[in-house]
Amino acid sequence: MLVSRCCQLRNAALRHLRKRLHRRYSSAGSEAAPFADKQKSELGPAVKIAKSPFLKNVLLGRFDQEFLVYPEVVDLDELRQYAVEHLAVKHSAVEHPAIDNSAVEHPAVVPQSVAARVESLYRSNVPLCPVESCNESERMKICEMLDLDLPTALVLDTQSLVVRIVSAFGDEHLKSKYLGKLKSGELKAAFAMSESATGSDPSALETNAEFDEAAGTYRIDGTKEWVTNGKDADVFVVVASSPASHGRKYREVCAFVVDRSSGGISWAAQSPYALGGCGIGRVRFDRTPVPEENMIGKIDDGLEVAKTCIVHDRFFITTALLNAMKKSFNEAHGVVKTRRQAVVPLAQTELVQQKMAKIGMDIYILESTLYWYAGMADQYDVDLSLESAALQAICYESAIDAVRNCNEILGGKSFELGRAELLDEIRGAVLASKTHTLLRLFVAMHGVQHAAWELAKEVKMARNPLDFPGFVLGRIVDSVRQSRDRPKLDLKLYEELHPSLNSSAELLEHTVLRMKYAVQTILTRYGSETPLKQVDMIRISDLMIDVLAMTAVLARSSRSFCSGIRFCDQEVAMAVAICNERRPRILRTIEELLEGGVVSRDLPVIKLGAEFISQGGYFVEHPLLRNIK
Amino acid sequence: MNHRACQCFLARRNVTLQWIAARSSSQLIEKSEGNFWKNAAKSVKPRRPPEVRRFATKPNHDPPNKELVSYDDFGGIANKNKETYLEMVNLYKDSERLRRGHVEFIYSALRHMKEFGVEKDLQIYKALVDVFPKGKMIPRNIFQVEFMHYPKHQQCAIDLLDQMEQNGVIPDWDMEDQLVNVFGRKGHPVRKYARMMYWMPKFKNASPWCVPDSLSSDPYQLARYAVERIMSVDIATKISTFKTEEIPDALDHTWIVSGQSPDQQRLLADLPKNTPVYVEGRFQIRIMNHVVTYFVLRADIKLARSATEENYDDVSNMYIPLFSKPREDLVVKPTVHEQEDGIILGICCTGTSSRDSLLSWIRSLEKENPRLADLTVVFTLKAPQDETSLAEVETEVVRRETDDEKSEKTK
Repeated sequence: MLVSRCCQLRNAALRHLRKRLHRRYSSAGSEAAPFADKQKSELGPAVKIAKSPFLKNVLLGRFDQEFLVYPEVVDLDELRQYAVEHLAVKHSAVEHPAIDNSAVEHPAVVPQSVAARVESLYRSNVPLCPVESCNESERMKICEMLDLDLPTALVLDTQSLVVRIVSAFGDEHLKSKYLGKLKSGELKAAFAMSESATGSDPSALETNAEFDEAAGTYRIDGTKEWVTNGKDADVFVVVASSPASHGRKYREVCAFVVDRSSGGISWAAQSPYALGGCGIGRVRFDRTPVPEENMIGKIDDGLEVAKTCIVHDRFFITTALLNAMKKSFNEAHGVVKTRRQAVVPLAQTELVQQKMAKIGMDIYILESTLYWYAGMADQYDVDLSLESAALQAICYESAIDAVRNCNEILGGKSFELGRAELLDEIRGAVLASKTHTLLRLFVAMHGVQHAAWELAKEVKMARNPLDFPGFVLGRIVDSVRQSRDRPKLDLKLYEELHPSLNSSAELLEHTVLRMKYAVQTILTRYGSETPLKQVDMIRISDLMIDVLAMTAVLARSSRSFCSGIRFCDQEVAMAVAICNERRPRILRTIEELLEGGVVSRDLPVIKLGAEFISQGGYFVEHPLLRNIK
Repeated sequence: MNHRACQCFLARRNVTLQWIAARSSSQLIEKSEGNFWKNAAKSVKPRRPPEVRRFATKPNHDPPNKELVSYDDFGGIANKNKETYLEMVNLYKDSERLRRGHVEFIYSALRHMKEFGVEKDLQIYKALVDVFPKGKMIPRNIFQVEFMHYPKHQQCAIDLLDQMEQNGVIPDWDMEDQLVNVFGRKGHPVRKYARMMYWMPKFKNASPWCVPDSLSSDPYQLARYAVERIMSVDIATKISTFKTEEIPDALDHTWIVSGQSPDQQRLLADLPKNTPVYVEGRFQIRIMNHVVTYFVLRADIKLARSATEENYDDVSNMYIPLFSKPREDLVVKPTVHEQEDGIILGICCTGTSSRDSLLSWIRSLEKENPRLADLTVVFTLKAPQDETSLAEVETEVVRRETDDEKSEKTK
């Protein structure tokens, strides 16, 4: 019995390995998905296979199994060679020992100014954006190897965001004028969008860009907050709203490249305690003149530009956070190693073991997802905007969790090592990029919008049951299994994974299939108001983020196990543990989504929230107060 | 003390008192008040022998004081306040040990409460309940209970409680003990007390705009309460106080409490040039039993855009309110300030309610609402010219001064 089971396992593993090898060496193995049929016409090794977006399709119950194959696009030896040939990182690291050594010992203490470090990195030819000579995965690995501290990473990411915006939306004039200098770091850039009154909502900006007919320039007037690198930037990308001009009836949001030398720009520091080095602050534009040709894209492209700051893959900051987590983890290990609690060594207490496992799992998830993302971008021609946003959400949350857990283990030592400040820095970096709530809403809303586009006909019929009784009855019959929480698992995800991950694959499949049902249900319930139901949107995004994390983790551990990499047993155990940890949460979230509406447990809570708002804060009487004397 | 424990204690004390009464003073009572009891026996025959009577706890050595507090003595007091009122009650209690005419006394005392300004004072009511003789009127069987034992006295106590209720005075737990000692646990006043204790605490906090129990009669404070209450429709409201001394050309030197929310400022800023805005009043609002006068800055109704209802069933092109263009076909829900009869742009109370103070209000508003300078401000007031003509308010007719208008229009 045992022998036959073992044989089965071995056969499955071999089959899987064969499949992987086959896929790796033949590009004909995978066919393009029907959704986005935009395979490039030219042939050759550089051609990427077109794919329909992954997370968006997950909401429709479709799971492209190719995404369960962990990408193998980087040859580390080649990468090292590339780094030696192209980058002067080693050189700069020696020249400025602060980059590496300080990060090990006192990462929060900044002996050398951020600006100087950024300057040296520009000189060392670090790729700020996708370049010909190295692919995305390699770029990410380079970012990780640089081992940046957070302020530096933040500044570099801002630069790369501006480079991306100019190269994606700018016309020839803008590109020729700015792009080269931005890439080389000759011009330092900042991105100015958030305002105090509207937060990160670019559709209601108060900063005005009025067209001055006489001078032929726009005049930008307003104050921007949380502008990273606002102190030293030579160039600002400013998102502003232009009043109804040029014969337009409504305000339009537009974006400009503004030179600092244009005049009327003043800067005031914000956030003095953490991230002091990266010049975060308020930038005031006082009727700053901007020539018309400095507008990025067309007059109504501003929102697309603004959207870039969400979908932009912040490689520097994500890898910097990953490194910070790893370092904190190792420090925590140092404490665990030596300290004793009462008689028992701390290392033997269950709670500490559990905490260490959690931190380790967080790091594993983030690492897997980062390289999964970069690999997918390399392998396929696919829209990864949602994945990018979801990845950032994972990154920010797990970084804060992991560092907090580490600090708990470190105890008082976390203050000595400056780890408490690290937490502040991470929070500041998250704020300066985008808050996780915004990222989550973005992921869920766009996912649901995509799903709704495809399900529109069904939803219309389901919302009018008296007009379409046949359809509704049929749907009831069809969803019998779903209503019993036993969807038919026909995606066969286990085929792509090692058999020891069967149970986890099943959970992933179950989640995907239930998500489709949940999305159908909430679309039927709320109709076109669905994106406004933010509580449910956050739930959807939770599920999407979990699916992304599980996919990446399962793919990675399966690949490790099949190729027999060192510690692959632990990796599989970790993957199973990660999925199992998520299981109850996922099931509960889906259940909450399905029950919804009037019977949901949200309603009383939301009502109470409205009450707290209208009463002006905490209004409840003191427990010692007596109504009857 | 917990009121249950208190009851137990009082019950025990009652028994002791009974015992003491029976042992020591029955003889004295018999001796000194023989006359009274003989008279009493004519109307109500005592059911028990005198030794179980429960009240006279004080030896009757002194000759009874014949100087009674006459029922209308309350009216004759020059200095009417809580102390003198209590003094009167105590005077009665001390002089009239036998509580002769206590029902009449209590009715008279209840009648005069307002004059002394004590109609909301629980202590006073308790002092009055204390006037009732203890123990005597407790019913002994179910028939007495149901057939209103001592009807006049019970009715008096019920009236007392009723007056408390009218004035919103919630009894406390001690009062229960007091009433039980007088009328027994099944007495009608105790039942009324129980109902009051059930409902009154529930209604006490029914109003969403609470004012302190001891509401001051300071007009400025009342004006703040009034403006806060009116402007509570908008949580972002900013309430500010202006001093007219700081405004040049102001004749009236007084204060202005002004309430305006950012929404109202925005609405005001969006008004087209030379739109007439009206200062209207005077309106009145009640804060407890005080009347506060307020004025309103109002603009005429603006044209509402007609909305076509969205088809909620069509999800093929859902609008995402995040990083997308503001929708042009959306009609924004009007704010609470945009009412059917116009847009309310701000409200105020002034110290004098005079026209000059309202002019000063408009001038003060101009600091935060520069747009106001481009608008035509029209004063359509029922307010008096100045505070000296306050008495004429009632008879004044709504009219628009044609000659005054020019001077009062700001631009």
